[in-house]
Order: sequence, then structure tokens, then C-alpha cells
Amino acid sequence: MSSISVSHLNKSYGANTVIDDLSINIAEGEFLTLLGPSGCGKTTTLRSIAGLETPDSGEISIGSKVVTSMSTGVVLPPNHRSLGMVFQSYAIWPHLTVFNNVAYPLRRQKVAAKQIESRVMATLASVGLDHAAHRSATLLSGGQQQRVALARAIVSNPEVLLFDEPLSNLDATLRITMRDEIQRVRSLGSTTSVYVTHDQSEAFSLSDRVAIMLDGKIVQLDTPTEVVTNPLTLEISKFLGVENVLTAVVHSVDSSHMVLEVPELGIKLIAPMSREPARVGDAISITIRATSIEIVGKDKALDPNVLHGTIVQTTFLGDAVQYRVAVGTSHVLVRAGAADARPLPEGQPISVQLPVHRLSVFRS
Amino acid sequence: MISTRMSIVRMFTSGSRAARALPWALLTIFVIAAFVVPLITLVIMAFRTALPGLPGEWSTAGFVAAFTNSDILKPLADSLIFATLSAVFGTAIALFFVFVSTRTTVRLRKLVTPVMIIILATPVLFFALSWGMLGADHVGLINKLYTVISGSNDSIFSINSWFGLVFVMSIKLSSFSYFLLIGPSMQMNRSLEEASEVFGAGRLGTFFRIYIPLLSPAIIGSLLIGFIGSLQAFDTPQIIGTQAGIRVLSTEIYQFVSLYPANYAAAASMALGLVALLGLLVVVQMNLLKGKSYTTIGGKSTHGAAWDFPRAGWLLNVSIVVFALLAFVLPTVQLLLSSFNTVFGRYDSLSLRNYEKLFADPLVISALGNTLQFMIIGGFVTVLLGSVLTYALRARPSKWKRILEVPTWIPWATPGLVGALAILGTILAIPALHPIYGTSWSMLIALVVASLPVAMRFTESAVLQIDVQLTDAARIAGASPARSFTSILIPLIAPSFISGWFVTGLGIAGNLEVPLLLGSTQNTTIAGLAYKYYVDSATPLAAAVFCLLLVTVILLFGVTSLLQYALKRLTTRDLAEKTIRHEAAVTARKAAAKQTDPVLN
Repeated sequence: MSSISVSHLNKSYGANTVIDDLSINIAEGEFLTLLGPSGCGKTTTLRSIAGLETPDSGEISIGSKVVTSMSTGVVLPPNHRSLGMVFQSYAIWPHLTVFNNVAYPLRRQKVAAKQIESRVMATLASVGLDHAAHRSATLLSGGQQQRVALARAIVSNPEVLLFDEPLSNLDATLRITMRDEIQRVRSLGSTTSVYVTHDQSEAFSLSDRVAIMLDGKIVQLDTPTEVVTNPLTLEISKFLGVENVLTAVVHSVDSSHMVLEVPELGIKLIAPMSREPARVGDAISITIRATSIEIVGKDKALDPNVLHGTIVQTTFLGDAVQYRVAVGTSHVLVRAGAADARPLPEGQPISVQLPVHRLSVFRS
Repeated sequence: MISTRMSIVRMFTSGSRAARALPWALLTIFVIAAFVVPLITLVIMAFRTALPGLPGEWSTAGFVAAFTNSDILKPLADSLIFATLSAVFGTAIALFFVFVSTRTTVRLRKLVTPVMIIILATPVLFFALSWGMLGADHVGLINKLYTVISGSNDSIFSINSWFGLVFVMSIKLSSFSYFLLIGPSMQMNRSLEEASEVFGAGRLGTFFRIYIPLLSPAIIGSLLIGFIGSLQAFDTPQIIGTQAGIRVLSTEIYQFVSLYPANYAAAASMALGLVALLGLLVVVQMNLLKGKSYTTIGGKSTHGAAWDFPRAGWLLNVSIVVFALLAFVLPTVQLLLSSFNTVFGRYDSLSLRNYEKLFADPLVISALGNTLQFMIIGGFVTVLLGSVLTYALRARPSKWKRILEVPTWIPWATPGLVGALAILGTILAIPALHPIYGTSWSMLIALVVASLPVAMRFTESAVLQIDVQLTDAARIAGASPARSFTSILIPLIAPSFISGWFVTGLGIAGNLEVPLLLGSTQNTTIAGLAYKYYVDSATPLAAAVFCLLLVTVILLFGVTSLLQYALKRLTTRDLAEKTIRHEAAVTARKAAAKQTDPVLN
């Protein structure tokens, strides 16, 4: 396995900049995910590492080998880069059997037939498909095809494993099964891996580090926990799906906290100090997840960050209930587990608390 | 009596069984008359000793003689060789250009599809005649150019050879194959090829291990269709092959008919044999195409990058240019130049003499008139009938399903020559039809029937795209089938109708078999005239008269485009006005609603 080094990658299609001066170093054996919305450039970056696309400028090295160098005009074709790749559409060859699909990389490397037999069958066994080895690939379900794709990607012990949104064509339950499968395969050996997805649960469950990409740039590179608890910018927060965004003005500060005036809710909130210390009068954006807001009883009415409002919309989501609570001139979204009580009716007054440590603040 | 008439009318306008069955019955009669009767006539012709319509006896002598005569072996063998070679080369050329056009970044790749469209639309007669001239020993443009360049008087290329014959047929076939192959090639999930590259195969390896195997169903289909098309071909073997001593089944059939006295029994027998062979192949082809499709596997396909050829790219560009040159640039130049020849092959003295001759000849004027009438009226009637037929076939009650559908497949196994022969026999055999023998009417009918299968391809794609629900809605609202046809279907398919009209007219203009078999020396079309001049060695006249046809076609294309443009302007303006009015109404409603509902604020 090798490390990967990408420096100053740029790619544009006409007037559209897809990758904007992107640089990143991926350590040996690391599992890194490029996470971002459609069009952020993550797939293009992955394909550039694979050699399936040529950037306008920049350098890519796998281990000590320079595979792409636009300054010297070197672009090594994909088949010389010692890669394994799992594609979004599985890319299982329908005219070959399962066995021959998985054997393909080994055949190209001129591995001896006996070795091919044993290695392919072992890899198929590790994904639970050895019984289907001589079946035609067209007879497999989507989930099975993706497992064959995984087997094919790892059978030749590549330097680098690439995943291009491999789970997005699978249905919800299958996605979870496959994700676990990838995790299990990962635990058997640690190949340097680059994973591209727009799905956060995949990114956070599989990765050592997550690189959040927006508009062709990496805007945060951190462990999953850090990214979730300390998003760097408001955009990242919004991308991660935070439902409540409030505008506020700093009312007063102390060493570790600030008191923020929130006009739309008509109250003041206590929040942690922002990354760069704010001063009185600064404009601040506050975000908090709907799941982080707690419904409290009348006994907590005078606690800090407690809002009093009225439920204007109740949405039953199956495993949770979402309440749209009117407070002041605005709304706050609250999500509560549906396990215990019945959903509260619309029109009922309700008190909710915004725990201080769950608030994220960003200077505008 | 008034009451009887009223009750008859009432019977047909009420929803009674008789009333509902009537249009289907009429349609069935038409379909049988157009498709089945000629086939039956052929069978009869094969087993009679004399011309249809003349007194004679039933006899198997003619039939047996046609097939036991050892003389049939050579045309049969030549037909099979010709068909195999043309299919293979046509498919190979198409595969190459499909790859260049869909998978590479060479600069001229966008030219390929338009060139192929032109070749597809151009009648085979154009290629046969023009290449017959281009490749003529010593005097054709190719050999003339060689003489100019090398100074030698030898011909480097003679069209009247196996090579020339297969070459010309392959050009035409390659356009069919191109459109058969391009769909699957474009639909192919590029990740399949990218995966091959990622997993260690180079480009060449990916091409042969992945691209070709995945295309193989389409390639086999293309080979089969090319084979069938070559077996049916008449123009090319007749004009080029016979000069090289190559005889195929279709030219043999024509030979029997153009002898004096004509041997209709032998012609019909051989025609039946050909139809049987083709019928078998068509069935095989339909079954094959129903089978494996490699394009539906996997999820969403990504837009893969096309291949760059930094060093060899110029070669691919050159091949595109050479192909366009050979396919229609050089042939057109040859035709134009020769039309100004006084003596064929003498390019130093050009004059308008040929055109003067043509316009002074009443036969030419009548042929031009015939051709125009057949193109315009015949084309229109064919597309109209095709639309009605397609619409009826789609909406048919299941009872009539088989009866109506099966006969419409007969033309696919019937070469143009055989169809023309069958119609000739039918006219001769039925005394009531004798008055139209030798007249333009017989040619018009034959052309319409011959062109129906092609026209129906157009109308099928147009009519079937229109959701059944659109016409169902009209029916529920009270419109009769005829009404929904005219008020809903026709306006929606009008653009395709006009295109189909033009393409059908084009095919009619290039049809050689009908004027040869059903026309006469006094009554023919431009195509028939061109052929006559060519075989009479009046090559410059043939070129000139064919150029007249080209000009006519271009003019009609202009008219058709204008019609399409006018249609689009009319409908989009209509649509635009409707959209604006609709949007204004919705906005007004929303504004009114907002004022009264506080919650939405």
C-alpha cells in the first residue's frame, strides 16, 4: 500500500471550475472520504487519481511514483497505476462469469492459472459469493454485483483502493449491509483507500478522516467526530444537514461564552465562544440540529436557552416525530424519538431547550 | 326506401357489432390485397405454363426446371458470397466509424453521423450508377486521375469486378449498420470500459475484450441484416455485377422476365425460392434480436471520457475524409462532370448538349412528370396509409391482431424486384385490372405497396411515441376513432409525417424495379431512363438525367424543410401563447389566495 499525494489540482469544463487548487496528502493505509454535494468535484478528483481524467494542472503521486504531472506532461494510464476501484454502477462485465470478472485483474498481471484459481475463490469466499463463482454475471442482484465488484477490487492487492459512490444505487437496507461489508473487508487488511460519497453516514462510519468538499475545494479535513461537533463554517454546517440556522448579534462576552441576542426568536441565548473571539455587536450565525433540541417541562422554564412556543406542524416520520415550533417571528425544528409518547398535537404550547454545548456559532 | 336507408345508417352509426367491425374488415381487406394477394399470384405464376391471364395449364415443369437446372448453382453461390462479403465489410466499416464517432476525440468525428445520414437516405441507384461511371475502365474519374498523376494509361481500378461490386454495396450497408450499432455503443455503460482500464488492460485490450463482446448482439444483428439486404439487392448487381459476369438471384429473375418470350414461371419460381430463404432469415433475425441485451445491466452510467489519440488522431481524421469522398463527394462530382460530357470520359470538352437533348425529348419530360407525381402523391398516400395502418394495428382489438399484423411482415422478406413481379402478375391475371397495365397507375400502386414497409418505420416511431392515453382521452370525451385520429394524432405526428413523406418520396424516386417491370419504353421514371441510357452506353445522358433527379430531390428537400419550419412556428407560437396565459392565470390565483390566508405568510 502507498500513500497518495495530490498537489494543486485544477480542472475546469469551460467556464465551470470543478476542482479549485486542491491539495491533500493521504497517509499509507488511511481510509479517507471525500464528502460533498453533487458537483463539488469529488468524483473528478477521484477519477484524476485513477487516471481516468486528466486535470488542467497539478501533480498526483502514488507512493514515490509520480502518476500525473501536468507540468511535465506525464499522465500514467490507469492500467499502470496498480489500483482497485469500485464503481457506482458496479461495472461488472455481463459477458463474463463471476469468476472471470474477479480473475480479470490477475490475468492482466499474468498470474499463473493455479494461483488465479485459489486467489479468486478465496476472495469470493471472503465476500460470501464463492458458491456463485461460475454463474453468469447477468444473473446477480444489485447487492451481489457490488460484492463481486468489491472482490475484484481487492483480489490483486492493489496499492490504492478507490470507491466512487459505490452504495448510491442500492436500496436502504442493502446499503447498510454493503457498508458493513466494506468495513469488514477493511478490517482484514488496511489498503490506502479513497472513498467518494454524498452520504454522511457512509463517510462517518467508514473513514479515518473526512475531507468535506464544496465548490471544488476542501473546506474541512478532520476526523468524523471533529467534523460533526466542530464544523468550520456555516456552509459545512448546512451541508451536514443542520436544520436550524439563526441570525444573532453579540450582546456580551466572557472568556468562554457569549450571550447572543436573537431577534427572530425574541430572546437571548448563551453560546460557546466562536473560534475567533467575537466582540460585542458582531453578527453571528447559530446552528443547532433538530435532534439536539430537547423538549422540557414547565419545571425548567427558567433555565438558560429555554424557548416557549406553539407547535404549528407535527410530522410523524416513523422512527421520530418532527415538530415545527413557532417562537417569536420564526420557527424552530425539533425532532424527538417516537418510541415513548404519542406525537403532540398541533396548536399545543411547548417548551424546548437549546443546550449550550450543542450550539455551533459562526461569525458572519 | 327512406326507412331502409335510415335503418342501415342507424345500424352503422350505433355502437353495434357490425358498425364496430366494419373499419377493421375494410382494413383487413386492404392489407390482404396489398400484401397477401401478390404473394399468392407469385405462387400461381410459378405453376402455370403461360403468362398469367392467358390461357394455359397448371404445370410443375417450370418450377422444377428452375430449381433442378444446374444453372441455378452459380447465381446461388454468387448471391451467398456477395451477401456474406458485403455484410462483413459493411459492418466492419460501420463499427470503425461508430467507434471513432462515439469514443474518440478526433476533430472530425462530428461529421460522421451526417455523412451516414446522407448515405442512408440516398437511393442505392445513385451509388450503383455513379460508381459504375467513376470506376469505368480508362474513362472513369478515378482512372483518369491516375493517368494524370502517373502518366500511365493502365486502369488501376475497374468497378466491374467482385471488388467493385462488394465495395459499392458495403458503402450503402455501412450506413444501415452504423445506425444499428450506434445506439448500443452510446448506451453502453462507460464504466465497463473504465473498469477494464483500471484493472490492467490497455486500450487495445479493452477494445477487444470488453467493447466488441458487449456489442456482439448488435454486431450479429447488423451482419444478418446486411446479409438479408444484399440478397434482396437488385440495382447494384444489375448495374455493376452483370458487367463483371457476376450473376445473383435477383438479376437472374430479371433476366427471365426481360427475355423474349418472358419466362414468368421460372422467374416466379426463383422469386419464391428467394422469398422462402429470406423469410427464414428474417425469422432468425427477429428471434436473435429478441435475445440477450448487454446494455441493461448495472446502475446509472457515468459519462466516461473519450479517448485521445495525440499521435494517430490525424489518421482517423483522414479516414473520415476519405470515406466522405468515396461515398458521395466523388460520385456526385463524376455525375456532374459526365452530365456535361459530349463523349464519356472526355473531360476537356464540356457542353450543355445533353441537357438540351433531354429537355427537347417528350419522353424525358413525361418521365420527369411521372417521377414528381410518384414522389409527391405516392409519398403522401404511402405515409398516410402507413399512419392509418400503424394506428389501427396499435389500437386493434385482439381478435383482429394476427390477421392484420402478420401480412405486414411479408414485404420484409420480399425484395423489391419480387414485389414488382408479383404486382405485375396480379395485374395480368385479373381481367378487371387490365386497363391499368402499362400505365402510370400500375407503377403508382406498385410504388406505394413497395414503400409501405419503410414508411411504416417512420410512422411507427412517430405514432407509437404518442401515449395511447392521449387518444383514449379523446375517445372518452366523445370523439370517434376517425375523429381522434384527425384531431389528435395527425397534428402531433405532423412533423414526422412530413419527414416520412420526404424520405418515402426519395425512395420512390430511386426505385428501379418498378419502372423496369411495370413501365414501358413510352412510360417510365427518371430512374428507369437513367438505367436505359446507361446500358445503351449513352452514359453522359444517364448522368445528366440523374443530375436532374438530384436537383429535384434537393428542391423538394427545401420545400419540406420550409414546411417543417412553418409548422414549428405555428405550433410553438400557439404553445407559447397558451403557456403565457396559463402562467398568468396561476399567478393571479396564487396572489388572490395569499391575501386571504395568513398561515402561508
